[in-house]
Amino acid sequence: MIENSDNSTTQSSVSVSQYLFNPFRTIAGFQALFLGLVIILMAAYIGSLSNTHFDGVLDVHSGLEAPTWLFFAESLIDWLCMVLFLFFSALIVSQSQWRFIDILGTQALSRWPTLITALVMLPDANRRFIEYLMSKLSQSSIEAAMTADAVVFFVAVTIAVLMIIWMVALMYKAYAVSCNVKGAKAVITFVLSLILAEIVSKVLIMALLCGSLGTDAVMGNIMPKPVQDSAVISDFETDPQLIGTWRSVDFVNEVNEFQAGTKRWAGDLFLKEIEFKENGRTSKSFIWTKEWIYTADGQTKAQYYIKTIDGEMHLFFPWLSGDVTIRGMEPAYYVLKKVSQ
Amino acid sequence: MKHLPTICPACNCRLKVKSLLCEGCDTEIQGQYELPPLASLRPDDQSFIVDFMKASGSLKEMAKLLGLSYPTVRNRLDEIIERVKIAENPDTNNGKGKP
Repeated sequence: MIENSDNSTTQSSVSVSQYLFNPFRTIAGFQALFLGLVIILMAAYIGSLSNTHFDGVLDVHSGLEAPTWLFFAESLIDWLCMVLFLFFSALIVSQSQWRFIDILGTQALSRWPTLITALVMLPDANRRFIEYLMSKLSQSSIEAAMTADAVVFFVAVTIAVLMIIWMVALMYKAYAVSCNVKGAKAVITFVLSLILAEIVSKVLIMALLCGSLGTDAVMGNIMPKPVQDSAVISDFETDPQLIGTWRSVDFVNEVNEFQAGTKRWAGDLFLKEIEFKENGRTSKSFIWTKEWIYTADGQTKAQYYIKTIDGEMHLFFPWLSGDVTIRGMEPAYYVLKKVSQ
Repeated sequence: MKHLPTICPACNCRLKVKSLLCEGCDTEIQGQYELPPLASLRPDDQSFIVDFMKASGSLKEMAKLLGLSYPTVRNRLDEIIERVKIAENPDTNNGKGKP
């Protein structure tokens, strides 16, 4: 049996700080890859529940609704971009016999703080407070409102920032250990790789988002257009029944397909909730006037219906997807119940 | 167990072997002999090399036995290789002959 000497490298006991800041001393290769991938995919899935995007190696943004696969794709792009640039850095500066699997695995594992970020962004209070801030921003009058939502939001943002710092520290350590680079050479090549990976991942993810969701939806989320007080449709006519927040309960091809208490749509409902504002705008990219829903550009419209079924108001909201706006098909309908005025 | 000193405690220069003794017949040989490079390494480095040999030169096996990751063990070996190179060519180390 091989006896361990008193040198730190040959001791297998691992302190808490080593687990936190240098788990790669004991975990690398396929083990780190498996563990890291599980964590990356878990973080992406949990992020999708609160629309939290890891849309860049160092980015965390919340708000844009997207299909779940996009959240997975974003996280994988972040990881692989960093791996790619560190691989080239190692080729140039490392004198050691390093293995690609170690870069792949340790960089995957070093993204584990994103799991904590995804968890702290989960409470609905964050989404509510972001919407509140955006509405105040658009009115140019930010008021200090230390509500419970605000506290949850600021705690979440603080933790998210700390997690990013921690993740960068882990990524550096992973690079130093897996490629055996030290000192200024390690710091400079790591920083350059990080900057390039951030740029490339950001461009790739933006292209992916714009390709999947449309440029207007993505750019509108990055730079929300100010909510105007005036109506957006020249002959706007209000509908007091429609104004308020509605929550989806089903998705049907025809209005008469809907049966209260029976959900026909088996999958997840992409549109969870929508708010119709008094000025003809909505919390999404659509605009409205009495009886009609328009796309944001005003080029396509379809009629909505409000029906009382079993004593409850139901909105049949025409879904103006690409099938309708581009291919000219008849819209399917989200069925929504009113949750607040 | 006493460790073989390789560095002079007074001036930090590398030590040489001046005398060898046969315990069987008390024959003593005097001279000036260089320490072999491996003997110039620190005891923990020597222990690592012995373990590495026992593991048939497999870093994967070493990593398993020591409970460490593969790159950690490989980095340690890289450090020892550097020390051996310095021990083989003390002139590159400011003439001090430090291992």
